[in-house]
Amino acid sequence: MGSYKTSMRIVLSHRVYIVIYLVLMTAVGLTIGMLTQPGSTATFKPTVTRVAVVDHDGSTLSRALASRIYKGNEKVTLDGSKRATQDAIAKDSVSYLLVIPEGWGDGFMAAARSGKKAPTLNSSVSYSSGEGRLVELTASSYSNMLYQMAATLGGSQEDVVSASDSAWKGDVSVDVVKSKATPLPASLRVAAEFSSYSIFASVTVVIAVLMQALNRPEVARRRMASSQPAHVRSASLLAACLTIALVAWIFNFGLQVLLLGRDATTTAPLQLAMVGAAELSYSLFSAAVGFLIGQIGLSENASNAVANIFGMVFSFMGGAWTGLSLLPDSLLAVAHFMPSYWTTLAIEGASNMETVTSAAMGSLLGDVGICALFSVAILLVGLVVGRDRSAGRSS
Amino acid sequence: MLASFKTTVLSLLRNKSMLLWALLFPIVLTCIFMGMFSGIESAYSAVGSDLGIVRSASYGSNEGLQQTLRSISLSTGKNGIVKLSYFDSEAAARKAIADEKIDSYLTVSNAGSISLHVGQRSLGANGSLPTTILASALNSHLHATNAVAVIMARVTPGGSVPASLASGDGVSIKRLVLTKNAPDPDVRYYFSLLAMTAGIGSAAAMLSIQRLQPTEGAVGARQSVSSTPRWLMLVGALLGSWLCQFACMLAALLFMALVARVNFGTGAAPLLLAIAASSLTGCAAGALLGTIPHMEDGMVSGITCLLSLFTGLYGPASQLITDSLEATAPTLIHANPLWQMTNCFYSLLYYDLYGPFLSSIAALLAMTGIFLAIAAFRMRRISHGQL
Repeated sequence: MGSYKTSMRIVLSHRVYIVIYLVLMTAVGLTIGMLTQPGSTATFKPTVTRVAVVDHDGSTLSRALASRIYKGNEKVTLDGSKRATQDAIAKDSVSYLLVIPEGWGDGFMAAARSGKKAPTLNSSVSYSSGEGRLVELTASSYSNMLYQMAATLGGSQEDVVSASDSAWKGDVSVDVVKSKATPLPASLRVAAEFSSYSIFASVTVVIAVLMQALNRPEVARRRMASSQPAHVRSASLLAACLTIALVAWIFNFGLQVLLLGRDATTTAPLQLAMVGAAELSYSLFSAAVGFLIGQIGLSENASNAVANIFGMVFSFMGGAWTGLSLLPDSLLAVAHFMPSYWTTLAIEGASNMETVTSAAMGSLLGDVGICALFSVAILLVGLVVGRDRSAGRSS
Repeated sequence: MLASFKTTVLSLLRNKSMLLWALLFPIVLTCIFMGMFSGIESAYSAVGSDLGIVRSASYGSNEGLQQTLRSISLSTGKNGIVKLSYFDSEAAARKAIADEKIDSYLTVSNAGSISLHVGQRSLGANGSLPTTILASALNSHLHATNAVAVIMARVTPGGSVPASLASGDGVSIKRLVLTKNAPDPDVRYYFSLLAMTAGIGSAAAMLSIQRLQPTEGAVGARQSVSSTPRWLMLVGALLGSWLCQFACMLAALLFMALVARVNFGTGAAPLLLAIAASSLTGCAAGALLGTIPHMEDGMVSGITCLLSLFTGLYGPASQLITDSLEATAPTLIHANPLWQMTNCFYSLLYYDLYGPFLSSIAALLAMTGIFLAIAAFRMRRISHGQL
């Protein structure tokens, strides 16, 4: 007990790490979760895209086209200067930009009457190209309809617009087929996936720092010379590691539930528990890695480097930051060797389930179990490394 | 000064964990990014989903709808967005949704109205974009059908409908690249990574400055009573760490440009200026941190990781928080030196004019000045206190 208490005292004296990696990183993860639209999936809400139309023409036709594009989307006003345009596209504050050249309306009517191609419109799509493509679909089908009307019915620009608007109705109705299980809020899922980094970095760094303190030659010699049996010494170190892992887990998962998942505790308790289990097993895995780093005896700076490099690699490759659907197939194959992949799989699976069946839960639990197996493997490596080192020291 | 410079460079080169951080870290992450982004672009544009179609008499008679569906099908259309499967009854389609086989299904009522039914699970997992795109494609079909009806109703009986009615592609929209280079979602990660490299590298400057403190053991004490002016030693240490950090960033940059084929969109000179300014700011920050007693290098990496979050390094979620902060609290986000470093590279890629780039460089130099001034002030106090 005495050496456990000492370990905890050492940990607390390095509280800067706890503040940076655990408190601040977790806070940011939660903020990101809160910024994510809670996304009620009970009803369908179409995706809203940020669009801008730079209308150099100002004719009836161009104004009709602009208002059609703005409808249902978020209108961003640009002053048309090159700098503003580049700013908007580069910073992704506009996903779709349409530039209507001067004299477009008149040229359009003349072209339609003579059966020629209308003057070209210019567009720019930022990198969220899925959304840009969506708006482009609307822009091109509406402008082509204007052309059809102008070519067949003729008349003034007002006539063409009113004929087109009378045809532009009767949209497909979209409804939601409810699943039996209530899904977890998207904000909770995002925060839970993001927390993989803060859990891994905080747990490994804190444990590595603790073990570095214990492995300092004088301290290690005193510890070895004490009358405390070796297994008690090891057990208390292991208990300290477990405590650190549990604290990181409770801090992360507890705040996630408290701030983002309070409704889910009643509507989807089992799925929420699965997310908690996934985070717990990842936290234990992080503790095993921290233990291994400590056993190898890396310096403080090196253990920080290792914790961060691996933390980021795991989080990226496990799809915790980008979502598993965005991982290319080749990387997905490698990702199977990352414990974070299995926890992300469990979190994503639990967040959106059709029905909560024992079979579905069982397979998710299996994913969590694979992550737990990784922890056992790393822990064993850590123990072996430690035995070799202590054997080397005594000889 | 030359001796301090040399000692600094040599001791940094011999510090293995420093090398691990500053040199290996960006290269490892670049490799990860290369793997990540090999397929991410197609993932952004292809928002495919599995669509079930309930075959009914009214569906069978709607020739136009079938044609539209074929054109957006992945197996037959050029710009496919859906994978089609067919069901004989709505109950079978619902069961397929429950079994997680399809994302949504489509029905055509006896009156001919088209409905899309999307599974809640799919909506939660994939967001509303795939369904919105699908609905939009179907709507264009409906509107085109309406348009024909409107025209037929208005054309005088006996009059002919021009051939252009059928084609309906009189307007073309040309995609323009309005920025200096085409927007690319991946480069942001690399730029943030370069900034993070500069941030992490500040630990090198911190160590070099700490070594000169009289409180740091025998060597520090000897150096503080040496006849060489103190400021010369400090400048030498600073220049030495700047050189090392510049070299590490250059290695990372070259690796990104040559191996990962990242498009920096500009010539070598402005890029070199950008990494020189970034590494200088990193060193100045390190010097300042070095004057704080009991500062450990692990804390530097912790702070860097935290600041990197606000450059968008950690995926779309952290980019979201960075962008929304930039819109709501620009001063706060501009005060982050790592953001300014990222913005240097960003401006070089996207703007024709050097204005935004130079303003970021100026911001970095101003930060460097502030850091060094505070560091010098603190350093003076430390040396007086000891002697």
